Amino acid sequence: MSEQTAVKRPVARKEMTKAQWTWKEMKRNKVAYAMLAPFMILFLIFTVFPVFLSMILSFTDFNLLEMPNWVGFDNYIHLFLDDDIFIIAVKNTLIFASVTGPASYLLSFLIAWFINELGPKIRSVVTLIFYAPSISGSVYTIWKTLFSSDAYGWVNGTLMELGIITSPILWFENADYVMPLCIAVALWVSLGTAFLAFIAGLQTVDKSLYEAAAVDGIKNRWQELWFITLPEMKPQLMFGAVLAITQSFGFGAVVTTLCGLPSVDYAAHTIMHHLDDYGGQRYEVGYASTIAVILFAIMLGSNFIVKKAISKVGQ
Amino acid sequence: MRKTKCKRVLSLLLAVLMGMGTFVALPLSSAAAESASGTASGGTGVTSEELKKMLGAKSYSEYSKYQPSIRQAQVNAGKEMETIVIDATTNLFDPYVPSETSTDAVDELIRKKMCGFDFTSAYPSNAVPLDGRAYKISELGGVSDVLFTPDAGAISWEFEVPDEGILSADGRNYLGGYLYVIEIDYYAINLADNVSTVERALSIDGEAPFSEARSLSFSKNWVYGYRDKIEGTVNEYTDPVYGYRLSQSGAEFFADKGDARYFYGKDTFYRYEQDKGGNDLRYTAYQRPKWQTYTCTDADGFYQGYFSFYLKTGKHTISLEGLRENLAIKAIRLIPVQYRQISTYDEYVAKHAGLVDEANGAGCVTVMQAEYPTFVSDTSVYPANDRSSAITQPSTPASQLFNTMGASSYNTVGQWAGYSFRVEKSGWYEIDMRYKQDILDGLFVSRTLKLSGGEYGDTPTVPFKEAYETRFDYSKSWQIQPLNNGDPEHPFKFYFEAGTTYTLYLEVGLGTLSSSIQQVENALQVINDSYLEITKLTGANPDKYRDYGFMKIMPKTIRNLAKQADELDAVIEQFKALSGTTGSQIATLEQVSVLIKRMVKKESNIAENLSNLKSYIGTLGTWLNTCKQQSLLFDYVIVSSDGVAEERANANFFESAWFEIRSFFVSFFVDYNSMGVKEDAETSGSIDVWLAYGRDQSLIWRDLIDTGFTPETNIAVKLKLVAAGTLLPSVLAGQGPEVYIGLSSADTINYAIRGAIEPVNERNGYTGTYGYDLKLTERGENDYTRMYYIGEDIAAITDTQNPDYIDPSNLTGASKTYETKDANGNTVTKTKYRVKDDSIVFNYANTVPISLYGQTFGVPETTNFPMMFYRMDVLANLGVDAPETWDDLMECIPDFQANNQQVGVTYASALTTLIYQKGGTQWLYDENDYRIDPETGERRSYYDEEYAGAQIGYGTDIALDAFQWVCRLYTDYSFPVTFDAANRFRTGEMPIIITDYCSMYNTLTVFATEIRGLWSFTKLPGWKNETTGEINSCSVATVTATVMLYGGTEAQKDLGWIFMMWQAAADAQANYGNRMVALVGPAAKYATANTQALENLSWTSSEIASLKQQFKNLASIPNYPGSYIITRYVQFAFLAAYNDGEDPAEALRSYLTTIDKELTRKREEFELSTLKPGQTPEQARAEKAAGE
Repeated sequence: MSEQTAVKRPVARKEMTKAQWTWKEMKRNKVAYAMLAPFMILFLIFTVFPVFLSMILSFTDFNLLEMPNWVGFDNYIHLFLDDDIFIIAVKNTLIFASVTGPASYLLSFLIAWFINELGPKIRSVVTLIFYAPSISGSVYTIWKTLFSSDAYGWVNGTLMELGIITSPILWFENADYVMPLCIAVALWVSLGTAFLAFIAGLQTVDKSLYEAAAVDGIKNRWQELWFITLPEMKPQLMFGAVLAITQSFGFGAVVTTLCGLPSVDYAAHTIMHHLDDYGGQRYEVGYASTIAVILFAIMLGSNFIVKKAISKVGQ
Repeated sequence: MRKTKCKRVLSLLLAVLMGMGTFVALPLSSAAAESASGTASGGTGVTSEELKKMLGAKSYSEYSKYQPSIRQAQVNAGKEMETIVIDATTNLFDPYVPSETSTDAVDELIRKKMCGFDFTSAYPSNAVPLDGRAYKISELGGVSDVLFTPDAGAISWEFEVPDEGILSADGRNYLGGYLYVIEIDYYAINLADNVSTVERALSIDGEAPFSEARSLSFSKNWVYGYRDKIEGTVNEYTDPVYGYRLSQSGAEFFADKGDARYFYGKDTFYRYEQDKGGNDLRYTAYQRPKWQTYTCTDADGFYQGYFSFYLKTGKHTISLEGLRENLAIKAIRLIPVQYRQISTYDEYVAKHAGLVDEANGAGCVTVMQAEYPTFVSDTSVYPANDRSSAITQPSTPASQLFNTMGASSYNTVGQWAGYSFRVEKSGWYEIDMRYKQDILDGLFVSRTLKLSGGEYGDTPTVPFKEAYETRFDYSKSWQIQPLNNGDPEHPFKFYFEAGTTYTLYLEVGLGTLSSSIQQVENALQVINDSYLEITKLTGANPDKYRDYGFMKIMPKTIRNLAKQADELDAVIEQFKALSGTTGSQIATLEQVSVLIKRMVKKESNIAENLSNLKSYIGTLGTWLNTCKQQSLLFDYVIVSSDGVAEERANANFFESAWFEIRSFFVSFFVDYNSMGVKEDAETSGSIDVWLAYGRDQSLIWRDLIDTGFTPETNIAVKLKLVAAGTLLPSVLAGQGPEVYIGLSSADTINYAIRGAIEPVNERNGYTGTYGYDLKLTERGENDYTRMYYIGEDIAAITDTQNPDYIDPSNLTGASKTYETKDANGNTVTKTKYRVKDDSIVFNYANTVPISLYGQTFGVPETTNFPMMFYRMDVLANLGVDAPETWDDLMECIPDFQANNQQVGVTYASALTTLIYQKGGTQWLYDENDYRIDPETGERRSYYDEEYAGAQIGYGTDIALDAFQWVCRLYTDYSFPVTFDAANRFRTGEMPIIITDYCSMYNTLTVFATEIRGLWSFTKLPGWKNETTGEINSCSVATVTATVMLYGGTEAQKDLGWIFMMWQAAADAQANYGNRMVALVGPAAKYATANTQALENLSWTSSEIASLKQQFKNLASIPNYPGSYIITRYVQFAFLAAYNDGEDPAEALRSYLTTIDKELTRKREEFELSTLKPGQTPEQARAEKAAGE
């Protein structure tokens, strides 16, 4: 009865549950949601859903062809307690990530910074030169030709001609050379999107800030970089960092192409390879999903740390 | 300051290098100068002596250098000379020299079904064996007393050359010998429908007079069995005469122009049968053997005219050695050369000048459609559907009609198509063709024109010299031109008599280019020899700063090389004169010539440019290949008295546009999957078949299915070409096909063990008309698997008149009855018989990798295995025989190393080969596991079905020894681990390479044409058992399979099974293999797993002999669960030994536990019995029993 007589008034936020409030807001902004929908649907189906699916699969013994059985934490137990190769893979991944991640990040930034000083025409040419390796797909196979194990390979041939070696070195099949070579190649191809983002970021920095800073007493280029340039391009830095991390953790295809799967003595076997090994060669997708989940967690964690670190820039 | 420092370092480096250079060079040059004298123990293969003789034979041009004067003397003498006739059966010198490679051809062939020709029924009884292998046949094809010669071994005849008393050309003294042309009356016996041509090597007095005589090819005679659609059924064996005309005035036997598709048979019109969509169905090609006369000519087309042989007065022997195919011979005639002079065109015209000419102005026209040849040289000459022009006859937008002949199927020297025709009125005719030649840019292709019938006799004869050089010029569009030799304004005119049946043969030849091409080929040979000679001194990577002193050490080689530049220049001039352009063809030659000139100009340039020379050798080889491919597509041939001015070569714009528009719209309505399904029957069903090869492969299978499988079974096939990785996701999604062609053995087992592939070994398809029962896992006494065909009507199939005749003795096993409905709908009981059939024969080893625990998951499709490729010339130079055993091989190595040469083999294939040759195994407790029992001390089988593959077999003494031995090859003998096999083989740096036979053969055929004939392949070196002395030379095979996917109804699976049986049978496999070669070229050899089909592929008989030897000697490794882990750790162990110098056995042993652990883990996944470390199956069983 009272409802009928009550005066109609806007409902206040605190009178509703959170869900009700969200629903209401959504109804109000339905046009925006409709516009967002195509992407969101695809994103959910092809990105978010598979992530959850692989989390579920990591508790099964799925083999790609038969109905999976629930195995509980067996996969995790095996992974942490009984898989020696996984430990090697984690070690290699960390080495890779800690060397190539920061190195390529710094390299990208430094080169971007230097190139930014050039005139616009030369800049675009030089940018292309540095960016080319990463746009031209699997161009890194050139390293396979350079460091071919054949006596007629470029490096072997040259070294033999110079009399430094007498028999060809199996570059990509020798545990001593595999890791350094792969890191070198990784750095070479890593000047990719992050590098472009940095260049773009450097362009967007407001020139007037430098003038203002000069007035405020900035003494040298380093101070300029630290107090103005970097804080100004934080979003790009963040973007580059995330890319560097995913790249360095997800570094696999290059090594597989150059050294085969697995690399000799697992010398360059990363978590990514371990995943490929189980998922592709052994048809143990359940177990591979377990590895993927761990890798996902590691990436998430390191992203978090990097985010923290970048927020300190310019302070 | 800095500059001087740099200089100092540089000079120091140089000094060191030079020092090293001389240090290395001293022993090297002395070794090269010395002739190597090491000989390996004699084997049964070709010895180095024989090789030397073979390679040293002179060419015909050299042989015939002094012939012109003798020929002149013979012609001038004007004296009647005697033709020497050798009767094949009575003049035998030494009845038969059996050769090592001879097959049991005759016995086997007599047992085989004969293909319906009249001679066959009489054949076995009237064939009298002469010395076991050659047979005398009392009557064959209407000729009595002939000699049957098999495809191997040599047969010799003796004869005497009389003293004719003819003065030499200068008139001073009598000739001591005369020139003869050799003719052979032959009958290419049709026992199996084998597509390869007959090849014989001719020698006189035990020696090949010149190198070209080592391979003479005798063509067979094929006809297409067109099926009649208009009236009655065609008898493929009667002799149809084809022809029809364009003009309206005509005798009654010509068909109407309105439908140019029909052609004339004796009393019926024949044409290709069509499917329900109106597409032409492929005919069956039949051999029609007949007595023919062969005159010795060059099989490669380099020499025009006949070979003339110089024979001294006195007794001689002539022998023919079988290289390929059987041949019956009636007589060999040696005809004095003046009686076989080919006249010039002018002489030809003069000869016929006085004859009646009623045709002139009478408008007599006879048209022959290219797609209806009367005879063809082999089955790879087949018609094609051309859609590039709207007026190609006949054309419809909707269906695929055969309307042209040629292109890729008609481009190899020696292939021909023959067209029979008659003319209405006697007189002079020109022959016009509508053709397209858009391949040889800036050049022309050639055909040799031959005629038979009337004055030309039964054997195709060249009417005049110019006919060798019939030219077809380049153009992007269609052309109509009269046959001519370079001047279309003055075409050839031929005199034809009314009523006589002539046959026009167009044989692929090299025409005017033949001498140029040969010159280049010779030059290439010399350049390559020089290159090899130089690398013997310098190695393949010469030091460009060193003075090798080439002019002192090998002046002759360098001079020879220099001469080749002039040779090439001469060819360039010829080409320019011929084609009038300086196209891309000439550029290649110029580059090589310039390089050689630069090299010989200054001695220091030689070493510097050596690697360039190597790459140019390859380019030149490719150039030769392109020039030899004489590709021509043609639509029809018109024999006309007054020219064909009114005929158009190309459609006009509106015709083309209308045709294209209709084609486009009609393409929405055509069901390409049911092509080949005939109108008169409903389809029995439809299956999906996938294959993951290339487009060419898929097109050929499509075609074979449409013309062979579907018309025969009425099963529609949806053939899909898919990417290699597609199968897994589609199986996962339940969208897979019934049958998948070409799955690797590892994948087959991976899928099978997870339940995605059906086992086929016990699949007996008793439903429907076609039923097959393939026993795949039976290790029979012949070591192969058999197929049973279930026939319907016992009386019909055992009737000898039936082309599909089956010997009653092949009916084995129980018959089965089944019920079916007849035409009236009544149920009737029918009986089926199981028949032994040899159309699907595999080596047992080929089923091993796709079998697991008693089940086989597919039918082997291809098999590839390592064989030994060797450079005959290099080995002959070193005086080394092709090694029979690994010990022989090791003995050659010092010789090789002295010449900077190496042996190429990958460690992985060396290891598996050696383990299996030594009687070891990769898996414990599998079928190959024979070990010495520690208790009894005797070798016994450790086979245990339950535990087979439970542990790795590399811990056994045999395997560890083998591994150690293989590692030593690389560490002690410095075999290269990584190498580019084809390149190093081509340059001769690796005279021996052990690698997969089919891929290597294919690569070498296109890639290394310059060493054609200088290499060969044979069975692998074997391991000699020291106690028994036996040599085991088995090779480890890999297999791809045709598999049936899980799921689908039983009925669908039956259809799939019928398809699989059709696809694996010898017919389909051989057709496919030969089609691939015809379409893609000689480099598309197909590695069929069916040993029966192998014999019908285009290998030479010596290649076949080697292949069969190795086919009998195959081993293969089963794919037990976890096999991936083995290759991995063995590689680690090898690399540890190679890179870090670890003890090989130690390195391998250290991984064994890890491997076994993984195997156990994997076996647990599939609930298979596992073994604990060190446990035997017996102990495991005992433990299990105790546990219960």
